[in-house]
Amino acid sequence: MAAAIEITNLTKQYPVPMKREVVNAVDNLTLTVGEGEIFGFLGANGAGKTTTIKILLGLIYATSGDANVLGSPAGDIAVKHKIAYLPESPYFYEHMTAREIVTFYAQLFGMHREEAKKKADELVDFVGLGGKSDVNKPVSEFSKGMRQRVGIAQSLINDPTLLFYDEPTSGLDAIARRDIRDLMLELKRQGKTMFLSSHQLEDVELVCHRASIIHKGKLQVLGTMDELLGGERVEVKLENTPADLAAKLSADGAIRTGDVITASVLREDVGSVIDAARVGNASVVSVVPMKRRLEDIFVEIVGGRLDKVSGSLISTGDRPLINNETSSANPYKEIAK
Amino acid sequence: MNTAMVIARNTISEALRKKILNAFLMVGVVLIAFTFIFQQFAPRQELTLVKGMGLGIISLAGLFITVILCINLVPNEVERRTIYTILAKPVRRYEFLLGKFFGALGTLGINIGLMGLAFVIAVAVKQIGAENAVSPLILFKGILMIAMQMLLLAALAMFFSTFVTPLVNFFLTMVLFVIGNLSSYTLDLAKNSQVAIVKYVLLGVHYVVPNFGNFQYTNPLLQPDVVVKNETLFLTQNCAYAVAYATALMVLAILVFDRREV
Repeated sequence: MAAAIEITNLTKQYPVPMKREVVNAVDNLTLTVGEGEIFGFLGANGAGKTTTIKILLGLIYATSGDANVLGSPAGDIAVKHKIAYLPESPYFYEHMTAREIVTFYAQLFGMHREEAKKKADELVDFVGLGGKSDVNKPVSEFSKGMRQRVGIAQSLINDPTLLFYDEPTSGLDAIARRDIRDLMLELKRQGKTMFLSSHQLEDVELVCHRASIIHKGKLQVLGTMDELLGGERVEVKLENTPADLAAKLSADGAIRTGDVITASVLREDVGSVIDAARVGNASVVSVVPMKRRLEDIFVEIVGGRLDKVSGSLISTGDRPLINNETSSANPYKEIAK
Repeated sequence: MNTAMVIARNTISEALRKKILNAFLMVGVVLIAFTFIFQQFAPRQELTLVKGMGLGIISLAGLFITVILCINLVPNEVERRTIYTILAKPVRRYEFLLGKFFGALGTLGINIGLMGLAFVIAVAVKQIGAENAVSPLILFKGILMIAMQMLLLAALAMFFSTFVTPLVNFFLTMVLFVIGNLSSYTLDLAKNSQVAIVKYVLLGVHYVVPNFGNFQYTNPLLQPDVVVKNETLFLTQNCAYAVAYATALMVLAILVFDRREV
């Protein structure tokens, strides 16, 4: 897969007013987004997401490092014919109608007025603003959801290869959010590349192929959705468990309900636990992989708790998210023998 | 340049909706209409007063419209974040800046043009039945000079708007406008100064600050005995000066804005 976005050791520093200090808005960020990939770019407020997007669009300049978009340096004018940007809470000229706004932006792509108007009609209809009640309204009378739709319409003028969406569902009601999520799924189906910054983690889980989390400008986690959400642990339920195995599982936090023990074990230990259960004539009631939620990972990182668990928060996508030091020593192997 | 023109058209359409600018325009037109209240003077004095006041009103209203419009054009786009979606499109920064500037000039052209038209009509009406009436169309020379002065002022305000806040820009532009209007005095002061450093500072001010005073063309229009030796040359030189200086300021503005983070 060719790279649509390549970011290498990207750093953006801002001076602290009245002090001889700088703050790193983006700190040595390295990541690659492949063509046709929907990439989630997550982080708390002030984590450096919008700064990164602005650098990729050439709106601001990196202090150091490289950022390439569609094979050209960030901000390249030729590349801008192939990309689209939807900023967080987009603002438009208040006196204009949705159609006039999209016509204006279409003309910035070099379209003639008539061609631009035709494109605007098409896109305004596509985002659901072509109805009689909306078509002649100035944007000043639009709800946030309607403004967001105008933003999406202007982002589709040039049939872009790569889309930068910054918080596209932020502050929207459930229906508007679902509509915009459906639209992103449609763009995914069309094979577009999308760099999606969002706080709506469920949307990211649903839409994205891969996701990353940055915190205080630094990349914390990067992986496919399966890697991120797959989880390291499996829930194993055993009945009539032999005493030595039950004691070991209980020591690891297993819960006993009558004759049934419910244990959460590391994925690589599942085989040994089941072997030990068979040796002790226990019944295996169920073995269910425990799915994580992106929100759990996000809260752990932003809350700074993942450090204590793993020591390292960064996954390259090739190795597990949590590098658990104890996983090599399998305590259940001894029991199985 | 097509992109710059698209942005310019949009800037004009937005600026013409601004209440404060329209208020200045209305005040200008109304004040010109009010010149009819001067009935107590002799007809010739009355006409001179109407012409002088009319040009003064156009100049003053033009000054406020120019400054208020131009100090806000770029900062507003940044503050409202409309600039993000525009510069994310295949729009070069210089095209954006020139689009805003041409839009400002278009707006000024419409405003000064409307006030000028009201003024010329007022003078024409006032001259009905007067002896030795001069065609009011010659007043357009004065209006042209005001327009050129405002072109230069617009470029100055646009240049500052690329790196200072609107408030600072307002004071800088106004102060330089006042100093620039005193350009003949700064030159005289420099020539007569005995202290070398003062002399060079005043000369520096005279040559660096735009000479807004050059565009004063009220007297030749009001006083028949004031004659400009070569009027065509005078008008052409001033127009060329305004265009050349404004071009230099816009080149500097483009260089600053090109590296500016938005």
